[in-house]
Amino acid sequence: MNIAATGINFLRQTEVAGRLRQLLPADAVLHAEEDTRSYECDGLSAYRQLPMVVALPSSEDEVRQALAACHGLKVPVVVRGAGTGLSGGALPMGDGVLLSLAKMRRILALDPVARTARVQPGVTNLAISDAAAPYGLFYAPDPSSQIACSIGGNVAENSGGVHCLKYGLTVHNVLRVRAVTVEGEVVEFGSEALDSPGLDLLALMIGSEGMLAVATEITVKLLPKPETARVILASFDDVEKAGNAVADVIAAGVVPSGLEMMDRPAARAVEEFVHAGYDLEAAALLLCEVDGTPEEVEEGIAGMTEVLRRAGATAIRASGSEAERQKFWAGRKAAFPAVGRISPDYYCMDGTIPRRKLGEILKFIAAMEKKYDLRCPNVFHAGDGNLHPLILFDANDPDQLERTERFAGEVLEKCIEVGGTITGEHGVGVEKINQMCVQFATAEIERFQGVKRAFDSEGLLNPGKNIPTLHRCAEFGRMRARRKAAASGAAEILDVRLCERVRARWIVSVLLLGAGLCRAPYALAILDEIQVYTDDLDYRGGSGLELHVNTTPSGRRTPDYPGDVPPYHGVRITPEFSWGLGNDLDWGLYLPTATDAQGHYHWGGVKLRTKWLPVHGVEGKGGWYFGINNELSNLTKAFSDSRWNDEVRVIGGYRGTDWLIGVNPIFEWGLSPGFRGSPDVTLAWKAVHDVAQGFALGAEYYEDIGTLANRLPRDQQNRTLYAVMEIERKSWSLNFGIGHGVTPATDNWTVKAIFGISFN
Amino acid sequence: MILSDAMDSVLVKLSETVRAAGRSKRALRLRGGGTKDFYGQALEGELLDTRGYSGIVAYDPSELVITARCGAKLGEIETAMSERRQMLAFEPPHFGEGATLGGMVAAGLSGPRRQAAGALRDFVLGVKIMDGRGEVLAFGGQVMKNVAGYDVSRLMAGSLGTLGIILEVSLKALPLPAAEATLRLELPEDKAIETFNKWGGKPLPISASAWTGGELGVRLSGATAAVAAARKKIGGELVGPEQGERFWTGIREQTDPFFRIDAPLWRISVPSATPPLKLPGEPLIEWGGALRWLCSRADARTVREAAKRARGHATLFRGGDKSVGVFQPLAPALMKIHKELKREFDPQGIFNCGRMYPDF
Repeated sequence: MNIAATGINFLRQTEVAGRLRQLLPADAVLHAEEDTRSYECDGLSAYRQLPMVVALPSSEDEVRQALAACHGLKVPVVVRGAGTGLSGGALPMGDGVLLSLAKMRRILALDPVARTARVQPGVTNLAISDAAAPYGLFYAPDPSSQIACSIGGNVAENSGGVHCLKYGLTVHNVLRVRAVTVEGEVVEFGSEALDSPGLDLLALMIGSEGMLAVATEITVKLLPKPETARVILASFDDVEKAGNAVADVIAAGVVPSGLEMMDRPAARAVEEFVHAGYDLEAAALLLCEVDGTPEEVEEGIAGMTEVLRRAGATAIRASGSEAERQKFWAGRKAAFPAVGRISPDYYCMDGTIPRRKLGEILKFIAAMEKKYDLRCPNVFHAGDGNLHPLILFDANDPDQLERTERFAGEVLEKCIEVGGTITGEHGVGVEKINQMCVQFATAEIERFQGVKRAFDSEGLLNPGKNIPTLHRCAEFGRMRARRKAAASGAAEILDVRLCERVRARWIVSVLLLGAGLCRAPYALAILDEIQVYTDDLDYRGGSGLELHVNTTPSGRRTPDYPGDVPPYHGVRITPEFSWGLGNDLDWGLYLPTATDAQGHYHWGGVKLRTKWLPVHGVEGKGGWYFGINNELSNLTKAFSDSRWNDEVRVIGGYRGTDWLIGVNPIFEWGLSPGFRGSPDVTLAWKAVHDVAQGFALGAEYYEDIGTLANRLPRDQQNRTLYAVMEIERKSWSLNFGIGHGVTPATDNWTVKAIFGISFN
Repeated sequence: MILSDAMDSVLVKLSETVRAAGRSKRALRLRGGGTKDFYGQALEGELLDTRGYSGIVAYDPSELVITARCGAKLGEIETAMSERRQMLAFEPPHFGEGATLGGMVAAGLSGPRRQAAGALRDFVLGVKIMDGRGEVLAFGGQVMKNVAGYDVSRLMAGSLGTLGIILEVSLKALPLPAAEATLRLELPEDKAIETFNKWGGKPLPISASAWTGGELGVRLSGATAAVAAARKKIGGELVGPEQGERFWTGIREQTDPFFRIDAPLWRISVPSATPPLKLPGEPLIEWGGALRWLCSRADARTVREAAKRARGHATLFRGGDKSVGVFQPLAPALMKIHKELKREFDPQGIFNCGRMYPDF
């Protein structure tokens, strides 16, 4: 095996880096850990993964060649701009290439007459406005990270900013994206005209989180800089009143160029940091900006002042000079770093809600602060309903971390409940991928996957981000069900507490769980052993060897969690040694292994089982049988997200002279911290009939119905029906089956075989 | 409630029709009021009238969002909005009494205000569609900012019904401007284009512009003071409000005398600073120079090549011989993506086949 501690396969790394070095300058391909370390995360630093290889192309031609090579080698590619993204969209892959576009940072053309700029993807957002400034023009979207973030990243995330209420998001300000497909083909989405023939693929490309194609050139719209702007700073003695004032401003008929809100805790943190002159007695502050011609601004400010006064503002100040306007804004723009000073860590959320629900969600957040005993200052793009509550916590305290996750998860789901969305501008990335399963139905997720396939049929561009697999949603459904069950039982609560206490070393992996909710608990271990237990038992002194082999010609291709080996085109081989202990008891040892679609070998861990079969017929005659099996496992990430697991299987059925029926209710628990709760339930059925001596035909059916506490909807369950053939000889046996998935969440086709040798 | 139950049964029927068509691979031609039947390549398949699924679902002016079903009449939506002093800021053309919301989004056309406010697709916040499997899917939502998943909602704008039935749409609304004024100037074509672009680089509240036959019309919209100040800067002759409104309606609805010229009508979309195209026929320029209408009998190749040289594209909008291709052909790599997308949303290929491109 060539797996190092970093999880990187050296042989593959050498192969991929070698191929890329033939195409790119030597210093543009990095693979040594000291060089690749700085690419291990983006702005969401809780998620880290060392990339296998980093490539730094400096031209479109190099991007094209690198992509074509990666496509040829079937290596996944993650594209990165400045790495300021907040949802882990540029999180590298241990078996993938990180394609950094940081070297492509030239402004290719700026046309002050047509008011457009043609730029490379690595150019920073602010550099465009700086270059346009001499012509009295600017690029409108202004994310808080605009000094550092790249326009390519803005395109990938459809970034907004404080002025997007009036000027729109990236999608409204980009005319054209020239890009390279995963196959290395150059395509143009949009044009320098205002529209293009065909479907609006430009809209699909913007906000696609690097999953559809790699942008190499972007044409943006430049707008004339407003002659002047003034901002009102209004104080409210009640947060809900401020929320309602926002709706009043919008309803008044003038769209402000910015409408931001901050609660008292946020204002205090900011005031200490930048001394913006904020009213610290106010429960909430509103910043409301009007821009345009001097006449327009005066009219707007007068109108807004009136509206805010009527809405109950306790104090209103309008900026009297450009310097004062900048000062008022400085506080808002510095909100995140300011909050960073008052807490060791903060977790930034990004839900969007209908404006009228602002008061309701603020109350909800306040209730969550009490429930989880964590502070949560609030900063909002109030004008467009985009919330950035910042939960303060200390990542070194596992208990706080756990509470933060749950807090954030509840807020995001509340956003969906009131008709909003889990992300307004930061993107899904890896961070909110579980909540996608809550926001979208199965068929919608399938269409998203279809969009991905239309551009990238093999799923090589940024796999595992943005769009969850149905399988992952099924696992997440189980986890949510567990959480609900856990909240209701005292024993479960104790269990959760225990889990929290031993969590310190799980911090990073736990943060990977997404915004507060636990990640998919574990890939079902059913893949290594697809078998219905019957009355087979090794008697005292007897021993046997079974070899479980199965493969998935058509099924899930993307990993459900970092380290997961997707079933597609993989082969699982698991030897099982068994010994009879007498008294209707035997035990077995499993050593599961897997080979992935690229042919890499993965060690799976160890499983130990004990079977007790007190009721069974007489050898050769048959009859009723009944028993129980317990299986304890310590598995690697290739097989399960939870390291320790336990499975209890009830065995029951009847053996006739030439036929057999049986059923196994199977209960499976994750034992590792973060994976505990209500068990997964799988029902396995079997019926076979002898058609000749020692030769039987029949069927097996496996239905994974969710957790004991909560059944999954049918389309999210895993259900597979196998046609099976069995051969039974004196010293060997074979069970061969072809299985077809009968729900969308299940792998389409699976082939399994169990070879048995008896040493009796 | 009664209406909503009735609408549910319309939806069930639509789904049955789509599923049945899918099973027998029977082509369907999706149609609302039929006001844009003239637009696009070919009308193929059995007529499926979408007007039964109608009504405004939600309209809350303080949210700046209106949600309505595909069969809702565009005229009724605009009336409901103007009562609350709001509008569809992309000023969509109706092209007839019966225009529906679904048809408007499927055609994806924007009117004179597009130059300042943005295109129809910029205002689409969310959609419900029925795909080729008869399944109802929702994308986007009713909020201003939403980046969860791919932007399938905007993909539907201008898709000409090729990917699915647009069932319900949420659109961003904007307040009506406090004041408007239309000015008239006399300028030759090249000077007009120059002037449009010069104005475009300045923070002027211009909401529409049109030039034809040596006359330039420009509309100012915004705060009363801003409109008054801009009038002084631009000069020209002030047109009465009614006359102004009639003029812009004529441009939007193509009832202006220009559109009565007896020749095929081309719609040429180019970067705004493109100099006069010097093609045979009569031009009308809109959108600050970015949209050039051309009534011309010039052959398609000449028109398309001129558009291409200018880094734009030309559509045979009305009349003429459609065998030359209504829309500018796509690059093969783009066409491949189009076909793959079509396969994902409409696997049996039943929706509005041939309406955009002959083999799509």
